[in-house]
Amino acid sequence: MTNPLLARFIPEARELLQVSASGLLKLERNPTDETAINEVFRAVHTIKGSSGLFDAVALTRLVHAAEDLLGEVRSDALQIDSSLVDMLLDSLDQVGQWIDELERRSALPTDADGVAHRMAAQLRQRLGAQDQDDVPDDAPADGAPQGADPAPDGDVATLPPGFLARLSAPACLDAFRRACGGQAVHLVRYAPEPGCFFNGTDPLQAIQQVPGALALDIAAAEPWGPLEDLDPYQCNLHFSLLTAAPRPEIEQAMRYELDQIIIAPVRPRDLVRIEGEPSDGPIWDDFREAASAFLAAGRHDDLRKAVGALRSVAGPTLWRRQALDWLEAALSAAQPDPALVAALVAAAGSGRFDPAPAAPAPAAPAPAPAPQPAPQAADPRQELARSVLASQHRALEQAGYDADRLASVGTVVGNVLLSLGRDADRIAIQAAFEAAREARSVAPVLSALSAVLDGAPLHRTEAAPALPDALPPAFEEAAPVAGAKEPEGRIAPKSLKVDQAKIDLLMNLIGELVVSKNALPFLAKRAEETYASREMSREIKEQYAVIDRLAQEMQGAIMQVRMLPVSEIFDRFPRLVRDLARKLGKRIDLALEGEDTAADKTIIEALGDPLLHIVRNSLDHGLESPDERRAAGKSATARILLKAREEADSVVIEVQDNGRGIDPVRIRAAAIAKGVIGQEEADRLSDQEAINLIYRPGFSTAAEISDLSGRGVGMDVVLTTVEKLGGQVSVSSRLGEGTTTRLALPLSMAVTRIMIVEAAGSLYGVPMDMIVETVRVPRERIRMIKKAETFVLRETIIPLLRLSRLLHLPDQPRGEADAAVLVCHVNGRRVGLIIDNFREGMDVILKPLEGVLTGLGGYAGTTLLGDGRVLLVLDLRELL
Amino acid sequence: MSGKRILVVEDGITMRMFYQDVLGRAGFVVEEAANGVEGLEKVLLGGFDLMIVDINMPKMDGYELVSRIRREPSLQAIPVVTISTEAKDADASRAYAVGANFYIVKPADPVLLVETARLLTGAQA
Repeated sequence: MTNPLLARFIPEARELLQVSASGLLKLERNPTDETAINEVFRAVHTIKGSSGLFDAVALTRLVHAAEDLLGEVRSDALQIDSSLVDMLLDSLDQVGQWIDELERRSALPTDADGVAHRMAAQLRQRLGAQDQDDVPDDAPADGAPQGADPAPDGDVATLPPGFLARLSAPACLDAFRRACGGQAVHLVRYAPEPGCFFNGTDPLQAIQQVPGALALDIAAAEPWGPLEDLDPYQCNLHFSLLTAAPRPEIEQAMRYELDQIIIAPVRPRDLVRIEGEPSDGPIWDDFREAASAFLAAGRHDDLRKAVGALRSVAGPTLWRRQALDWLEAALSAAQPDPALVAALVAAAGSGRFDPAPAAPAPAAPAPAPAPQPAPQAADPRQELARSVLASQHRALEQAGYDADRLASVGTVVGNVLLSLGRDADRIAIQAAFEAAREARSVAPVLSALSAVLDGAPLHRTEAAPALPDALPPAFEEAAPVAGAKEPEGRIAPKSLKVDQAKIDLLMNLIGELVVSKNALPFLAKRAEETYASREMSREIKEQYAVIDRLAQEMQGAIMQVRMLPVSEIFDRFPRLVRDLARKLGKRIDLALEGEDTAADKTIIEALGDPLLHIVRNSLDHGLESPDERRAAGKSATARILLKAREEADSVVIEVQDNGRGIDPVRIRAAAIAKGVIGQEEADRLSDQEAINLIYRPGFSTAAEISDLSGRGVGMDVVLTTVEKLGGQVSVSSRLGEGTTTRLALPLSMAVTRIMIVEAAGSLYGVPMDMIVETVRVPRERIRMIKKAETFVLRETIIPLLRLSRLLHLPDQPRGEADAAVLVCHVNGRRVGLIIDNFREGMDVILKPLEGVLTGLGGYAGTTLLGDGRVLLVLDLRELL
Repeated sequence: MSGKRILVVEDGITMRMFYQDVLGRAGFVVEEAANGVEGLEKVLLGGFDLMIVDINMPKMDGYELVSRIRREPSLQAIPVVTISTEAKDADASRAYAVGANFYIVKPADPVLLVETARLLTGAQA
């Protein structure tokens, strides 16, 4: 995407779409919520306004329709209801897809026009009939760059490029004759769904059902691409059918495909296709003269005769002769279209066909409502100046005498005349303003203004300045223009939108810096040991302390930038819950709390899926249907609360529902039935432990898998994801009252604190958050229980494992020295790991294993040590 | 380079960038405000030769902003252009009634916008 304006628009539009969608949901719950409707209306309005800057007419059209509808809702002319909300949400979704497309290809997909027409028409149906007339008159869209056709394209078909060329000349002429004769000729554009073959649709047969077919054209919807990528089961065709059938008949024939077709009338002049050899000669000049005279006098019969006479003598292969055929057809109508006839007369006379020779000037950039003065359309700058002055005239006339109003009008009139260099007029006008103030009446100014407006073109005393031809059409990547010449004292922008990738890069760089600075202590050691320079060593250490502090601060600052509010994910839920609840026939009220709580972007992003899963699970299994709830003496509407808060160094997210709760008895039974646990283990479990079983792999209590939560993943996935992020999941439930799932996650996970340990002669890292404590255990206190080593730590038996064995490495004989034991908390249990020795702790940025190593279990990742060695950091959960 | 100062009051961030770019290129110094309240705060600081005001904005809309500006003695002489997506004459009429000097329909043609700004500030091309 090279257009920075578009690059700015895309995130803005997405944000506004999000705002609109959540506002609509609020509105659905409370149709009289004035704040919500205003919010939605404005968001949609802003999208519409900004989209007009781009070549995205379809998008603007659809948004415009949505805005009009919302305007009616806002003014209470229309009652909002669920089906309306559905329609609006669908439209916004479509706009969202187009925004994605704009981001990818800087253009809308080829079917966008059709889709926009169809969806806008649906929206407008709700507006009621009285508004139908001004429907396609998309004022803002028309200002956007479009095709050459200056006519509003709303009610008239634009023929696909090359369409006429693919038709036979007689077919064209036939269609043209009918169109001129007042019989509507329609173009039916049919874009079958790519998957239509699978619903048993034969698109060719479907379009052939349309009666009155004059010509059919079939083209590829998207370029075909290489043969090996071709999917023959996808329909990639667009059909364009020219038909003389009236609209109801077309709709009847295509009734099953109505959402995939556009029907629009074709103007006769768009059907004209003249071919043949060039020719010249006096007879053509004579004809042009005579025909123009007949035309001017409205003598159509004489014109017909002249045409007939010339046709009988001109060679049938000549271009001009062909033009006569079309002219004759145009004249055969009961009420010939004068512009069309004139165009064809000119064609026969000149050998060139211009479909709209004397068409009214296209909508000039002049402001529409301002009075359009005098017809000297020479200089747009003059025109504009007139228009501005006329507006002042109008404003004063409207306001009557008001000294305050006179002030700005005075400035504007003075400036306009100054800008045009009309000093004499300026002095005259100034006098008029003086007079007006004295007389307390606008009359002197009005008449002076009228005099200026009626006078000669507003020319500059010397040569008029030329208008700049055009501004550079594209906004190049150049530095913001105003940047260089801003006056001092400019208020700094409050916030800055930055591409995430840039922050990620910064984060990676700071990570590298943190690691590189770790080399300095090694350097200090070498200075002391190898070069025997204690002095140098001390200085390096001092410098290290400074760099270390700066790096830490920098890291902290960047972390702050990476913090995102949980609303980023929470905001998806209202829509989701609403849709799912409808699908399930449940009534659910979703409440959000603490959306502003912020956490690192990695955490926020990774949190989406587990949260989605928990909410779905709650909707699917936890919450009862309205009937069940009433039977249980609860309100029919269930409630889900999504709550976030910050607690110490972590962000806590809770999903609370007031559903049926989890029944430990059923869980036990299900777990046994599924072979997750045995009978005696089940008996031993407390109720809470039984509930925790839902996180075991392979567990799902639903009798059959529903299409919501049953996607082949259980709650165990939630647990795995959250634990990978360094967080914890817990669930508490009261039977009949509801369930609360609690996720606790670190605020940030970019930096991991690890402890370095020695085992089997190598160094390994162990994440600090797994380590409970480090102890040295005398050999004699290590006891054997069955075949396992254990030791007692403050009256608790802790099983011992040797890290070297877990890593399948040879034991390092340590003699009778005390065993170094790392007591860790893993998978809910305490375990002692026997290692060779403890080393220092350090902050590292973990890099995940890459390439062939990805599948290697037991390692959380790697990091670089200060001396350049790679340190493997263990993932104890997987290892044990 | 006219160096004339324009305050653009517009809630759409893309539109603001558009004004910055188009008017900035033409030599104007463009300052921005994202809603009516911010616009009023900034214009009260003074020093602007022209205001371009969007009609539909949060907090305080364009009509309200313009009418408040006109009630401020120090701001009665400043030229104000209102911009809206509405092409209806009634909207223009309302804008003139509250004190606007010119009404432009969105999206503004860049050439028109620059020329309007030049004319209303008395700047030379």
